Amino acid sequence: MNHIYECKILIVDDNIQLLDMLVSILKKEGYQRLCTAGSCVEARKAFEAEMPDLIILDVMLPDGDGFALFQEFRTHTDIPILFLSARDQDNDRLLGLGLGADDYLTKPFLPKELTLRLAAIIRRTYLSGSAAKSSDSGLTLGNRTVRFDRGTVSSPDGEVSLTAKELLILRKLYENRGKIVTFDALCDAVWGDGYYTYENTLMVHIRRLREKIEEDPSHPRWLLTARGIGYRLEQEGRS
Amino acid sequence: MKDLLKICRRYIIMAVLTVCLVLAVNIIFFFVYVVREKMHKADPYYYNWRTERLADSLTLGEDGYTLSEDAARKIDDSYAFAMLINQQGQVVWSRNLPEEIPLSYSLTDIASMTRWYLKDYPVKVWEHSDGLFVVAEEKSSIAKYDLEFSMSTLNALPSYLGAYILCNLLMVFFLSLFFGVRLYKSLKAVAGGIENLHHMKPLNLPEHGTTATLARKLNDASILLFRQKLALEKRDNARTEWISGVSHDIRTPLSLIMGHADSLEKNPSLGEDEKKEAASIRENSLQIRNLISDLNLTSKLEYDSYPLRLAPCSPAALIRSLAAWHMNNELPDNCQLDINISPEMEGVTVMGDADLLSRAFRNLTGNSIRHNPEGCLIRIDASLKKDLVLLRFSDTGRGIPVSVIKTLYRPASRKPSTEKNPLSSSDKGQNAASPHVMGLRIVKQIIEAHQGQLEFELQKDVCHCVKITLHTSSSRAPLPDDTPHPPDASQRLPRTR
Repeated sequence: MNHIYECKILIVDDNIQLLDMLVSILKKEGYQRLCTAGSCVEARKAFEAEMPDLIILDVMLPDGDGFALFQEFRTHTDIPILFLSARDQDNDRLLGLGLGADDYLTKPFLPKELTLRLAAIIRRTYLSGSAAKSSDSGLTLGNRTVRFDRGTVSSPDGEVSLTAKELLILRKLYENRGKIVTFDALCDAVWGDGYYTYENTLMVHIRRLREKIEEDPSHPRWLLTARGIGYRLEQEGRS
Repeated sequence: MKDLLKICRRYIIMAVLTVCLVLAVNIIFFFVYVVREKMHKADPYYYNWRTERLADSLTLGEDGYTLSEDAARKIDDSYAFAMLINQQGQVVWSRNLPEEIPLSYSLTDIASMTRWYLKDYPVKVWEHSDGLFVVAEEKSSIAKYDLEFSMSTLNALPSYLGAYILCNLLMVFFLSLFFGVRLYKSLKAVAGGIENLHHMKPLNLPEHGTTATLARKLNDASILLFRQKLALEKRDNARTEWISGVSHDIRTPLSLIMGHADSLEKNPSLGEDEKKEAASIRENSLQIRNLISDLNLTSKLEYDSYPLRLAPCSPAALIRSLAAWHMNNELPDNCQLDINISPEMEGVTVMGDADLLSRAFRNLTGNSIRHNPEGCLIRIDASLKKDLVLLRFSDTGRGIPVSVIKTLYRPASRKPSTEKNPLSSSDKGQNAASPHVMGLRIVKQIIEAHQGQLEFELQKDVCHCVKITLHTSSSRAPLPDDTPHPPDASQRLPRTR
């Protein structure tokens, strides 16, 4: 699979109107290989006939339970499955995810949220190699490029190495680029612990990171402080 | 059970004290009686004096025996008769002598009469120069008993008395103990029953012995309470399930509305007005979705059917996360968010459900943003006071009207006839009567579920500050002396978007 839109998706839901709407949303998004089923029996048939790459599965079906159907599919294949259910209880969500579902989205949902989650699952499952490649190919911050695969920052003046902790901090910020990441979330990502007792250590790591990725560390352009809350990696073209 | 032992101990002490008191009162009463009797004519000393005096008052003159007037009056007033028996046993003088009394006496008669009675008349005698002076009281006025003690018995009397009192006290003590233990055993079952009743457990106490009636009534009360509990649980479950069912059924149609509205909003063939209308449908659908979610949560919290996932969580981290969430999710341009976390708050944890607490905090800040479209400054202060975490959420906006707070604290009606469908609170009429307080109700319920305290600071019928107090968990890490404190996080947050 070279592109997410090449993914064949089986949608299982007993509500015909919702099925039509889902097909419409996904087609507009770019997915063309879609098939639908309104019951467990139809889903089994479609699964065998179409061999989908991903399944969007409702939990409450007229002739059975979506969780049981999920386990049935799992015995044959490891394709990603996303639960789309009106059951919003934590227990249901935990059960679905605990069984090994790739995601659990409750109704009502925003179409954009569904398509984003689908895209993320498909990328993670089928395009992770190329995605990782693109991610590790480099993060450009002005005239500097961060190479996550090599743990280096190259600039016109040369190349410097990032320490393991600096790399973890930068990766966490990069994953949430444009958004504030709290001190606590950063400490959890780097040390697996809370902010308490790591206040100064984190500050020191950030200062050193700025020295490596910023042209002027005293007036940072990319790694910004949200005072009292956390740090944010500025998006390109917004600074 | 400790209380029960205390009751029994008090019971025994009170019993012993009661007996001691009774004994003391009796002894005092006895001595008072003796003293009083001492002053009475029956007193031996008094008796001797009187009889002696009467005897002395009888003198032999030329005209025979004469009695002084005082003595004669005394005999007439207080005695039945008086007589003088000479050495030969003949009555030589008498006064008021009844006919039944003989006039001559043998030695045997004298011996038997002097100590006891003469023809049922209790008599007293005194030696006279001419014989034996006898004075008799009225029949049945005096009882005479012969009391004889050996000297050894009399000498040992004080020690006997001590032993007697001691034995009595011991007997009282052991009897009290015996009855106390019996009472304790019967009360123990009843006390256990009351304890179980307190924990709403069914009772089956044995209905016999001294506490039979009490046990029967407790058993009856238990059955009644248990039935009420079951009825309440059934009703609460029905309500929660109803809300859950309705919210479940509404989800799929709402998905369709939101999906189609989103589709219309993006449809290039539609005009701007139509797109705006579609956007409005989508936004309102989102609101309905949030309302359903709130309704489900508030219903579960109210009937304790929400499983709290308690774990130590840092309030400071939750507040930073909340601030970041607002910053990352389009905080309006005219709103500013200040957070002020005191340094000692770092490392402090509360035992709580982090998701729920975050929800409560977000509801408060969300209210400040939503109800102040003209903008405001929102401020969150977190500090520590002993073992309590104090959180203050304040804003410079319109504030929470007192009517909202009153509605929040209005007790929920339990009468089925007055129960309202919770969904009907969105009716216009209902809204006019009671303001929408779902978000604040959830805050209140979450804080109460964490055994915390929620306070509204009122200023001229408007609340601009909500205070939350939470207990710190015991897992609070001590601040190491060599760890430098983080800089004070009190600052106005610059908008970084």
